[in-house]
Amino acid sequence: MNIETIHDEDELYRRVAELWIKESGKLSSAAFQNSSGTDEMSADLARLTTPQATALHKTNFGVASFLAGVARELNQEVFHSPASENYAHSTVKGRKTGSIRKKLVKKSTLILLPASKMS
Amino acid sequence: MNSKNWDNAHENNFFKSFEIDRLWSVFSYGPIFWGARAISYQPEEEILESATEPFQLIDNISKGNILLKGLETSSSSEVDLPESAWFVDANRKIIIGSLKPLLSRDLTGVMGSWQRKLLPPQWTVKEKFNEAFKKIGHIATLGSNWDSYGSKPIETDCISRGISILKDLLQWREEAGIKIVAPFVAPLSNGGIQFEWEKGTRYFEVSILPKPSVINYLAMDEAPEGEMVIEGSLKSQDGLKDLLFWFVDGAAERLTEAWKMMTERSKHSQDEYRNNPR
Repeated sequence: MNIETIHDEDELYRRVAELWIKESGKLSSAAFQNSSGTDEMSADLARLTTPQATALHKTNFGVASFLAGVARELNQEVFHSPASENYAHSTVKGRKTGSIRKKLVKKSTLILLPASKMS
Repeated sequence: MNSKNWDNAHENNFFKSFEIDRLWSVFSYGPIFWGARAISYQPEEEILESATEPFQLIDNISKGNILLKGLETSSSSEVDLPESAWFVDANRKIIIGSLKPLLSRDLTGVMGSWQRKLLPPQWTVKEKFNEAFKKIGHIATLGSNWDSYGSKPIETDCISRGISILKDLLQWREEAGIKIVAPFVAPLSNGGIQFEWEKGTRYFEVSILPKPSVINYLAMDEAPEGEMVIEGSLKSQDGLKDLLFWFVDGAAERLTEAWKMMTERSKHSQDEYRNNPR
């Protein structure tokens, strides 16, 4: 599989559970935690996928979008790491303290809401 | 518009209180006029205080839960009611309340003949805490991979500690008078639980982590005069009270005190935090 170069201006999609979305529509910083026992967080390279595909075509997930450059500014390494079932799969690697996760929330946009959060 | 006309326009606007329908009323706030002269001013920051989350303006009209405060802090000017749904239009400086609340006599922000009438709130702080307890109950039932990224089920120990903290919050409200509101409760992919509070420029977050069994905290204030960020790790929930005091009243010295106290309690907390990536 080809490995794409992710530029700072590339958009990344992160699938978010409905339990992470507040009544106000804001996202919890819990959405940007590393996978358990690792220093990596999965995301999808937006230009290789769609918000619906990132949400696994399920209505109980939303999708948050942020720029690769934003993550890099927060000392995160961002690279394309395609998986067999998801070519867009990418990795945001680095320690994610509370303040880093909160900054990612501030710089991200919820582009797809779970059905339960749609008014 | 000359100043007299401006005064009259605002005076008329301020005293204008009319029924939209049988349930909703519109009240103006802002400069308070007595005759043609403003005698006091109720800043927006003081009149709006969310009981759940920071007040947010969404499409000009916001839904939230607010407390109305008077300017005289020495008297009983704080009003715990209403804790019902309210809407605010900040541009037009009006509050739309669903019910007529009990207001103290010296409340300076709103006026009208309805001041002393009492109607029950739609929900209470305890009800909001109950929602938080219920959410923890729901989170406890999550199986593996609930976030679709390989998450763990939430650890029983974290559930217990989360409930214990919520109970402490209620106790501190009652005993120490800390007007802390119910937090937003979120599950963490590593099997922990996170509590979040927001109020104006202040943000406070507590992450109850499974292994090692610690509590990470983040206190942020993005005040116009400069951003402040403090984060660290606690071995127990003892230090939370000091941080919550800061969150409620925003006094920087409280945060400094809390920080000192926690540093003394756990000299190695920073090292532990460094060794505890999440």
